[in-house]
Parts: sequence; C-alpha cells; structure tokens
Amino acid sequence: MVTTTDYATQATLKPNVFRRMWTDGQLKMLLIFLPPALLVFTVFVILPMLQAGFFAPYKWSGYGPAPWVLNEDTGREFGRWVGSQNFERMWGHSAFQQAFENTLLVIAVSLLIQLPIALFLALLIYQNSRINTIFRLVFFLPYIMAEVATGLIFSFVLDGNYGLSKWFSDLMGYETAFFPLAEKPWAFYSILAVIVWKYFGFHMMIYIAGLQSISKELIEAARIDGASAIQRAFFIQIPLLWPAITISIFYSVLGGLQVFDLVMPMTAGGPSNSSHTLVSYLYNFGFVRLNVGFGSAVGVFLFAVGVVFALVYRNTVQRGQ
Amino acid sequence: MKHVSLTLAASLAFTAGTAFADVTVDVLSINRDSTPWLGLYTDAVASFEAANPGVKVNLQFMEDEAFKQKLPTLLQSDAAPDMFFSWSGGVFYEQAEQGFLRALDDATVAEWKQDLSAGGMAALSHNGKYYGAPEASQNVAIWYNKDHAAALGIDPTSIKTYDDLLGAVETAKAGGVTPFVVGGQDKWPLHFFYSLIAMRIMGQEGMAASAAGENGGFNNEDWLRAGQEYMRLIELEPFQPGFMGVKYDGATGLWGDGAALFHLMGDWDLGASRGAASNGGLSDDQLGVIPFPMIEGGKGAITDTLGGASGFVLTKDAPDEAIDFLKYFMGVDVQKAAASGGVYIPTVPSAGGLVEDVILKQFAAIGGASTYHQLFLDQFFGSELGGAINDVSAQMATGDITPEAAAELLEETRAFQ
Repeated sequence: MVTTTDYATQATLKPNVFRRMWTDGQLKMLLIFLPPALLVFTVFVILPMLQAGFFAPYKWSGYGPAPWVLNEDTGREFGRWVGSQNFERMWGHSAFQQAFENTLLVIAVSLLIQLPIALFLALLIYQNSRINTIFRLVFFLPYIMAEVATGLIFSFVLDGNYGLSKWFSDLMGYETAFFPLAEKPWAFYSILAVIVWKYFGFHMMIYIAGLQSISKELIEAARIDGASAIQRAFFIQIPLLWPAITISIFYSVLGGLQVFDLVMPMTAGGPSNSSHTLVSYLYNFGFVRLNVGFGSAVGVFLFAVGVVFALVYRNTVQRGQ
Repeated sequence: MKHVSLTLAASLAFTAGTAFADVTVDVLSINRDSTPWLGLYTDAVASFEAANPGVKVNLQFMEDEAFKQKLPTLLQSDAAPDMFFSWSGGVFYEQAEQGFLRALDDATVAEWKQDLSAGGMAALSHNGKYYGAPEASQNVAIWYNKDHAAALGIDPTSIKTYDDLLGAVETAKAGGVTPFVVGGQDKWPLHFFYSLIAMRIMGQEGMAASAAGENGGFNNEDWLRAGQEYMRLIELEPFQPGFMGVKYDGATGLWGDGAALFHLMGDWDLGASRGAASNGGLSDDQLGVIPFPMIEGGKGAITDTLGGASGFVLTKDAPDEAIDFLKYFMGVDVQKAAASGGVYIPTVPSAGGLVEDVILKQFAAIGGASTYHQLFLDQFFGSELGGAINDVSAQMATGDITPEAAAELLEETRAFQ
C-alpha cells in the first residue's frame, strides 16, 4: 500500500514542478535563455574539444575538413593515422618538457609571489578613502591593458639596443647593455615578472571586495581587545577571506595554464624554445608548422590537466563553499 | 556632334560597367603595401583594369608571419583569394597535393614558358602540373659595409674561403666592430648560415639525397660537418649583443645604422634596411656584396645560390580572368617596370638587363651565374622539417645543442614526415 502511494505522489510531482515553474515564469526564462547559451557553449567549447580528441591520433596538415575525410581531388584521405605517435613525440620533445616546466613555474610564481603581494596590498588599501581609490586604480591599470600591447611594450623596455634596458645599462656604466629577452634563463624570468605585474591587480580587487564584506564590528571588537594590525589580519581577516582566496587560486592556476599572449610579442618562445608555455608551444608546433594532429594532442593534454585540476580542487579545497 | 558622341560614350561606359563589373579577382600578397612595391602593384592593377573592362582586381596585403598562419584556414573558406603569393617549396607542395590550387592547362603553360622564366615556372609546379607564375628572383649573399671594411683594412672581395671569412670576423672583433648583425629571434636569418655552409659542403646531390632520406638523410657526415663549421663561426661570437632577442626588422635596422661589418641576407634587404634604419640607411657607395665563400673540400661551388623562388599561384576556384591577370601581373611588361624601377630583380629573362640599381645589379649577376639554385631550406623542406632546421640553427647559435644532436634531430623529424 505504502509503495503505491509513493508512486502516486512521485507521478504527480513532476507536472506540479513544471506547472509551478510555468506560473512563476521560471520555465519561460529557461526556454528563452538556455538554448542560446547551450548552443554557443556546444559549438565553441564542446565541439572543438571533441574534435581535438579525434584529430590527435592523426598526422594532418590542417588542409581539408578533417583528417579522415576522403579528398576527391587526390583519392586519398587528408590525414594519416599514426595512433599514439603524436603523444609519444610530445613527451619526448625537449621543447615540450621545457614548456611544461615553464607553465608549472608560472603557476608557482602566481601562487607564491603574486597572490601574497595582492593580499598585502589589499589589506593596505581596502578601506574607502580618496587616496586608496587612486592606488586601487593605479594597481588595477596593468590588468586593463591588452596582453599583446603589454608584451610589445615590455619587448621595447627590455631591449638593450634602444629600450630602458640600454638606458639603465648606460646609467650603471656597463660596457655592454643587458638583453634579458635574448638570454636563456632571463627571457622567461622577464615574462614571469610581467605576468606578476599584470595580474596582481585583478587578485587584489577580489581580495578588496572580500575584505569590505567582513563586518566592521568584528575588526572593531578585535581592536578593543588589543589585537595589533598583523594579528587582526592573520586571525580575523585572512581566515574570513578564505573563500575569496580559494577563488583567486583557482583563477591563478587556470590562468597560468593559458599564458600565451604575453609570450608571443616578448620572446616568441625563444631563445631556443626556452620560454614557451604549453599554449605557445601548441601554437608554434601545431599551427605554425601545419601539424594540426600534433597540436591537437598537446591540446588534449592541456585540457586534461585543466579538467583534473578543476575537479580535484572543487572537490577538496572548495568543498562546501 | 561632339557632345552627342561624348554622351554616347559615357552611356556605353556606364552600361559596360554594370554589365561586366561582376568579376572580381582577389589577390592576396605578403606585406608589399609600401613603396616601391605598392606603386608597381597598383600601376599593374590599374593598367590591367583599363585594358579589361569589367574585371576588378582587389589587392590585399598581409604581414609575412600572419600570412603564413592564416592561409591554411583561409584557403578552405569561402573567403579564399583567387590567387596568392607563394614561396613555393614544401608548403606549396602540400597545398597542391591536397587539391587547393588550380593547375594551368598545357596550352597556357607552353605559351607562358616562352617569355617567363622556365626555372621559376618549374619551382611553382608539382607532379608535372603548373600552378602559377614566378615573380622576383631572390638570392642570399654577404653584404658588407665599405666604411668598416676600409677602417679595418679588410678587402671583402678577396674572401674566397670560409677560413678567409672567419679571419675577417676575427679582425673585426679585434677592431671593436660587430662582425655580423642577425635577427636571431626570427631564427630564419640564422638558418641562412647553416644552409649555405651545408650547401657548400654537400652540393646539389647531397641536398637532394637528404631530402629523399638517402645516405642517412640528415644524420650523415656532411650535415655533421656543416654543424661543426657553423659552430666554428659561432664560437667567435660574431653577432651583435642580444642577437637572440631581435627580429629581422630590428637587425636590419641596426645594419642600416652601420652597426656591423657584414650582413648575410637577401637582395630584399636593400629596401628593408633603409626603411628600418634611423637615418635612411647605408648609401649605395657604402655597400658591397660578395657570395658566401667556399668551404675547403666541399662538393658544392661558390656559384651555388640560396634564395627564393616565389611568385603567385591560383586557387582551385579561381576564375579564368585570374589567369589573365596573373599572366599580366607576372608578365614581361610589369617585370621590366620592376627592374628599371629597382623594385625587384625580375625572373623574366628579357628583363634582367634592365636592372639599374648598383646593388641589385650585383645580385642579378650572382643569380645569373648560378650553377645550382637552392630554395630556402625552411621553405624547401616544408613547415615541419623547415621549422626544425630553423630551430637547430638557433639552438646551435646559443650553444644549446651539438652538431651531432642537431643532425639526429633533423633526421628524426624528416623520418616522421
């Protein structure tokens, strides 16, 4: 008897839910807003991702609609099946290993240098005042600038023939100017410095928003109890800011996996492929060299790293938020 | 009466305009939207349009690297041009093999071969089919700055062997002059050194054998020696400080500003360096040109040349009008204008003698005496192997790879193709 009533209530539940959604306008909203978003997401995100997965086991120049399609003009397929060869070549390629290492370095520097700087500055200037607003604007400006423009500006700044680097070398009385973008470890360190400079303002803004939402009474109470500014920061503000910090870590890591626009104008991956990131490596060895199958294999790897990180992070650090 | 005929002519022109102006030939070129190229191109278009009412030619320009990267997708789209610039070589073979180009019919080929360059036509052919028409002849040689040479007491025209060249490099270093400028970040300027050394060592047959994978492909004694000879130059630190952080444009600007004794570059550098230099560049009197010297015991010859074999090719849906325009655009009249205007060194044999520019004349002489013309290796071997050659040229220049490892890496890349 009990089970039948259960079935009965479940059967009537669904129409009820829909009817309620219809009457309060939710269903209409869904029907209007969901399809375009779903379509755009499918066409521009899901399909290319699947495509990359299908292209990865082929040797393919990118000419023709897909590697397995028969080319009527030649009587052969556009591409050639090579199985796991693209992945093996990728793993064995020293430039790929360097690019992977560099990408990890970007993430490490973002987490260990950029975020602490952002947090420190946010703690200094989160309170509303005219001077703080000016500082916020100044610190946020690099983030607003287009990546490619930033890269070009720094490629001039760091040029030892004409740039600030020459001026500085002359000032210090060095015989030969310093060319950071032409020297091996320095080229990528320069990129790292620009990344920190460009994005700390963004994270600072996240922290400022978080700090402003912490109730003033709590801080006030701590102050009355005699807590110093450092104690207030470490025992009240930072713990309460933790949800904002986890989000900023998430953006940092995913952003680190995607660094590309700064690399191309500054070093184009050089000297000797020492300053590639995973994405600039993909672009150079996949697209520029007309090796779309290989590029897809790198893309699949990059995607896998991103997804694994996102899933693990969501289910551990951000759990319950 | 005069009035009536004018009105008649005007109305005829108007109807002609509306009736036939529906054929547009889209032409995509690399960055030639500056003088003197642009003038030559727009004049050619204007006179062709005047002679062929109803056909409109639409010229588009794109910066070299952007052009290379956009072309594969562009060719597959509806926005594909009717003809485009081609460096020939591996990328062109791929486009032809995959059926993206329109082949010329036999009658047209026979007709064109009568006045266009046969060698240039051959460079734009693949598997017996002809796809385009050749334009400029390009050759790479060593430019020298006469002022520096005189101050250092060097006579560059006496440089006949590679050892002579290395000696001049040492003299320049000792005299406080940068021996060579190079845009190392672009990599391809460095690959000229490696290519020419390899050509002098192995000659035409050796290069063909490498391309075919015979005799170990790239992993053989000749390529190894090419790397070792290249390293002998590198060990003298012949380049300007920070050369790996500079692109070709920057390097040729330094050259135009008189920053070095030598510059290993093609004939196009004349205009490029003057454009990029801060004070208009070096004058004709300050510049000299010598061929890349011979390497002792090599199988090549000092008269073997490295350079381009470029022109324009037709895409598969190109209308017949595009063929007409191509013939005119790369034809005798335009090439003669290019030669006398100092725009480029023509491939058309009958226009070669018209080159007036003192410097371009020297390049025309080098090209004219060529015993074997090798296409730029990064074009000849296609984007992947060509890119690897550029890579190892740069990596050896920074000491990141040994000649042995370079040869192995090239062979591995070739085998995978």
